[in-house]
Amino acid sequence: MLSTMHPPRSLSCFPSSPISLLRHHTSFNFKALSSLSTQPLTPTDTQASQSSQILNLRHSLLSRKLTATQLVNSFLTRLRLTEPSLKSFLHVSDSLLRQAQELDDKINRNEELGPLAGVLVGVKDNICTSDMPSTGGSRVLDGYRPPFDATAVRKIKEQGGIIVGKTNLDEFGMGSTTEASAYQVTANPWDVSRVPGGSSGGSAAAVSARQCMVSLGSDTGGSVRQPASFCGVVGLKPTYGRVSRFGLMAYASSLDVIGCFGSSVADAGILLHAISGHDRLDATSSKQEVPDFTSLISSINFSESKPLKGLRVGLIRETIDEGVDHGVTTVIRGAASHLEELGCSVSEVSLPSFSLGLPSYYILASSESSSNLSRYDGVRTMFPITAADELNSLYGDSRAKGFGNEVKMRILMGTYALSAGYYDAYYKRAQQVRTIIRKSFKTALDEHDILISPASPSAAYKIGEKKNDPLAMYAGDIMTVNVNLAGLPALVLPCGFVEGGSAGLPVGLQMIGAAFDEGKLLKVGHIFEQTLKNSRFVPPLIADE
Amino acid sequence: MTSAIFRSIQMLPFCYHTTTALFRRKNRILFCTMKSTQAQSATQEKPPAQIKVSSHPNARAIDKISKDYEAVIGIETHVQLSTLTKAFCSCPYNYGSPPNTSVCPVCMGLPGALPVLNSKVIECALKVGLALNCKLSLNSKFDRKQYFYPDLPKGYQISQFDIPIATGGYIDLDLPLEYGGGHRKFGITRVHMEEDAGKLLHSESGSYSQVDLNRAGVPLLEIVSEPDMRTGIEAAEYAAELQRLVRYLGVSNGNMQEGSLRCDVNVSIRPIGQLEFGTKVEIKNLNSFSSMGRAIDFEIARQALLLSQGRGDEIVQETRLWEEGGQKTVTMRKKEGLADYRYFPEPDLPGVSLTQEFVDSIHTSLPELPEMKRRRYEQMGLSMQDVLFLANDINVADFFDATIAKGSDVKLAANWIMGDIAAYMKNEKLTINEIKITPQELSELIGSIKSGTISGKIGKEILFELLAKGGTVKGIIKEKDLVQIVDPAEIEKMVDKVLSENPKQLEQYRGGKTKLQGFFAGQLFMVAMGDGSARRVMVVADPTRESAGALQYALSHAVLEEDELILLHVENPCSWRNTLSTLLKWPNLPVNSISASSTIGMEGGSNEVDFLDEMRYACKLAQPKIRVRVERSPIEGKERASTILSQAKAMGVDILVIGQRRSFSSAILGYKRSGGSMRGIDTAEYLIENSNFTCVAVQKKGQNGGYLLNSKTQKNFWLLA
Ligand SMILES: [Zn+2]
Repeated sequence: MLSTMHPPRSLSCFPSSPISLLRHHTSFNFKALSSLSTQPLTPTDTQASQSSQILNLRHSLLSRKLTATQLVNSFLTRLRLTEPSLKSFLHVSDSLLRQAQELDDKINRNEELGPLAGVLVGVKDNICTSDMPSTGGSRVLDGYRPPFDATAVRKIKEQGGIIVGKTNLDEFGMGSTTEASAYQVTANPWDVSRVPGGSSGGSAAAVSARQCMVSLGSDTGGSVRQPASFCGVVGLKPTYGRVSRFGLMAYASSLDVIGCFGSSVADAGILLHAISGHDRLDATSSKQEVPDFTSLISSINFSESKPLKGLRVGLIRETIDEGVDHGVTTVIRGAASHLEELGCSVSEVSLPSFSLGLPSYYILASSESSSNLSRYDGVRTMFPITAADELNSLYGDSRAKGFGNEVKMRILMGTYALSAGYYDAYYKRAQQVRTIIRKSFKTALDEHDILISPASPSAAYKIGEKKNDPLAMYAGDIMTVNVNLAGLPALVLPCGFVEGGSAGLPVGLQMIGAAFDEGKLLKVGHIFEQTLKNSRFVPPLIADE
Repeated sequence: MTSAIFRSIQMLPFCYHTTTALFRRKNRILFCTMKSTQAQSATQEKPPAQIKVSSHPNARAIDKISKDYEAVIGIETHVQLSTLTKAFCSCPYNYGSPPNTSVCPVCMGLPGALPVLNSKVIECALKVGLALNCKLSLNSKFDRKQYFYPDLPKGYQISQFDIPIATGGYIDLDLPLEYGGGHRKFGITRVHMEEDAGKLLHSESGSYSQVDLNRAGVPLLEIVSEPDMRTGIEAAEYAAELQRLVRYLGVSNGNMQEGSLRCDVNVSIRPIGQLEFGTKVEIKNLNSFSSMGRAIDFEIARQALLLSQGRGDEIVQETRLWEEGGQKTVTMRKKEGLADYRYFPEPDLPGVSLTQEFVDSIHTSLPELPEMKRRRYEQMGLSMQDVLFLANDINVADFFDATIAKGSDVKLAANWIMGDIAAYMKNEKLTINEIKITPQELSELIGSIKSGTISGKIGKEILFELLAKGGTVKGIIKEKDLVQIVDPAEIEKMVDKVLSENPKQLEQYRGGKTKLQGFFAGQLFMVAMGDGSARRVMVVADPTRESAGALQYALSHAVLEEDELILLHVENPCSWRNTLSTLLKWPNLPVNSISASSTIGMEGGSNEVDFLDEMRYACKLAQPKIRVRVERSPIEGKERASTILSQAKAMGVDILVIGQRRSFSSAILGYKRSGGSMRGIDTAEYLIENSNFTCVAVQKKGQNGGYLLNSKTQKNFWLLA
């Protein structure tokens, strides 16, 4: 028989190095690291800026101010401190110190370093890694170790990045809170009684709490952008096809993209650059040229008083309407003013089809997921099921026990939408709506360079708050799903706070660009971020360090 | 075939004007060309695609009922494309590989793996679509067909649903002459691309099953016909024509046994004259064209019987399985409503967009297709029988085309290919690509015969040499010194000699004892061997029945008064082995295996010395005037045959006679492929092949059955007593 079965996965395998060793290195923490920044990216207000951890690290490693081993130890220390309350990782690599040592040896031999040398990357657990379990947050893949790396992971490794571990998520990416994980609920670093958003909640929380420098998520209907907003980090959803989906466990193939989290726009851009490009293993990956986002960002001239002069920004009217938290609307309007200060001309733009996005999205995503999840049928024993005596009970038992409720609900919805007699009313109409949405975005982006909106109608809400109200949860995706239906790139970056928690809750601004125009989003985002005054998006959980 | 009995020997002088006598110059052997009643027809192989349909036990009654009904037959065919790699991953596919050895994350449906279309699949689909005269979709797409089954790793099959790559075509074919012949044109509804599923291997106990995913993801074309067929023969010929087509196109091996060509047949019947269709029944498990024909005819008869008995409601929409053992169809599963496959566009694959230029380039690259070929052959003047045979197999057709391209006569080339070459291929289980003869040489051979350089008989000999060993016609003629002697005066002289020497037999022959034909043939055979001068005849002497027979033949037919006869006995040089072998050999020899021939008078139980003395005595008795010499020789090296050969050469032997045990099986087909080990090759065969003098192998056929003779140039010549 085919066997891709492995011994049951042990959750959260942290390296069990002695405490004394840890204490020895506690001086190296995030603060120490950021103070190493010798080359501030912005000439204006260093206090407000989010500096690039990746660029700083590179400088520190090359100038021998820091060893990779010191770096890893400082992150592991923070990980150990924060993980019990956050639960952002499903698995942590046990070879981090070994990899760090190898990098230090390389540096000592003066060997050339990859662009991501020493960069600590968290990877959402629905992205395949050959050296770590990949469960997709589902029981059905408990203990599964793929025989291959996802293309994005392979590229990160090839460029010197170190995969810290696998981050928690809603099962197969289906959810907006990370509560639908089969294994654990992740907390928001800004207020551990709140959700980090989802489905890439683990990746967002990990970056927010500086458990890793950057992370990979996946975005089918907002699963990178909404948690980025909730956790106060930068989330980048690339154009559909920009990044290979090979190795990303499919939820809704026509909408899925792998996205990036970073604590700065620069880091998100550097990570995107590392994983972008055509892949012969993904027929839907684009052959569009990948611009050098890193040099694009570092070449920005801050000496101009209005660096974004002439940029036409459209504020999507439907996203600041009723149903959106007043606090959020206020923050977004403030962000729009800030853009105007930078020289942009901001105007409101209406996307009449905007409200159609949600139903269209849920029909298409459920339909595709009902098909994509058919492969978890118990035949190839990823999920050890007791021997069934006939075929239908093998399928039935495996899927009944293997899938969580949210997944089952979407499979049922999708199966229904594709059934004979219903196909035209649901799937086909949803596709027609998708075409309309794509066209309306095209029109709006012909008149504007970028469109802006909140990333979510609210800031992070309490764990359990919407668990029994799926429609309310689905409605929370209103800001993001349209972008997936149109296949466009979008950048979410923290732009302010609303009340909540001990230090307020971050609010994310979503910038939507034309297809394959991530460069423009990163540029605008970087300038916006570097010029945003009096905002430091470090959660209270680690702010004491 | 093996014992090729020449029942009617057309021999000089009775009809010598129609006969060619051939001559081997050096060795002075005369050949008589004889017509075997089997020679031509038995080699005439039927085209493999022709179908036999056996009638059912109740055939007559049902035939009568069936006359009132008309069957409507449609066929869904799955053709496995022989691309190097699977449809959506880079795994190779080879039929019969150990389970799960040609698999990867993509074809195993592992999480995160994605399909990437192999562009060769599109090419193959376009070729088939164009060859089936279909309208092509320049913008088509893939869809997912969803159902659960353990051999389907993703839970869906990547297929094409509403926009197949090709639609609305037709196929032309010619029915075999045995079934009345005739041209047919059947409609093609659609052709679409899809992937194959894996295979389930069920345990013998039935308590578990295993999945082999080697075949999962192998590209298929599904070809759906219009319901245009009316009989089992038409349906089977439709499938056979599809097989020819995909083989001509080189897109599939079309092998039904391996499942590269799978047909599911839909059959319904209706009273003749009725327009609407009856309830259709699907038949599966059709592993050959002939079982297809039989299954359909059975199903038609079954349905007709039910209808005629007013039990039409028992014909239900269902899938039935053809049972080869019982020669019947049985219910596999009843259709419970329509299966809902929940098709939707495959989001992992971009749409398939083709340019007209690309389609045109495929179109111009198409080879000549079976229908075109048949029409061309027909115009060349070949009979429909020939046309169907030659066009059946693309390789045979290519060989034929290449032969006539070298200037060969069309009809002669067809005859040679369909006759001796086809027979050789059948016997040796070779394909036309495996035989050694080239179209160039076949053309040369036909030309040489036509021009009279060689006779048809010699031509056949050369053909067999070419088939087995290759080489050129000119080379073989030179090497074997084969030249046709057609000097009637010389032949007549020899015939006169035979007749005058045998007045009694001539008298009897004229009196109606036609069996004597063989006698005259044998006499002529021998006369031709001699040129009047004294010769040295060697007989291989052993204490066996075969050896006794050989000596008997030599004394009565080969040795003339002035000749010298050498009895050569080859013995083992090693004394202990010799003793041992004698000890072992003699008691084991069955009494009757030692010659019972009273002519020689050897008795069982005699020792070596005795049997040679007996043989010498037999010579004196039969031919008092000849000189007889007994020679013994130890075995040189390991081979008995090469010892005999070297001894015969050393003694300057003109004719070597050796007894032969079994029938000379390969003789009729030419020489066994030589060059390999001696093992398995008869000593006599070896001597015949390697001697540069005349070597005759003799099998005595019973008490009065005469002799079966074989020499280098004469195969299975039956010399009657
Ligand atoms: Zn494969």
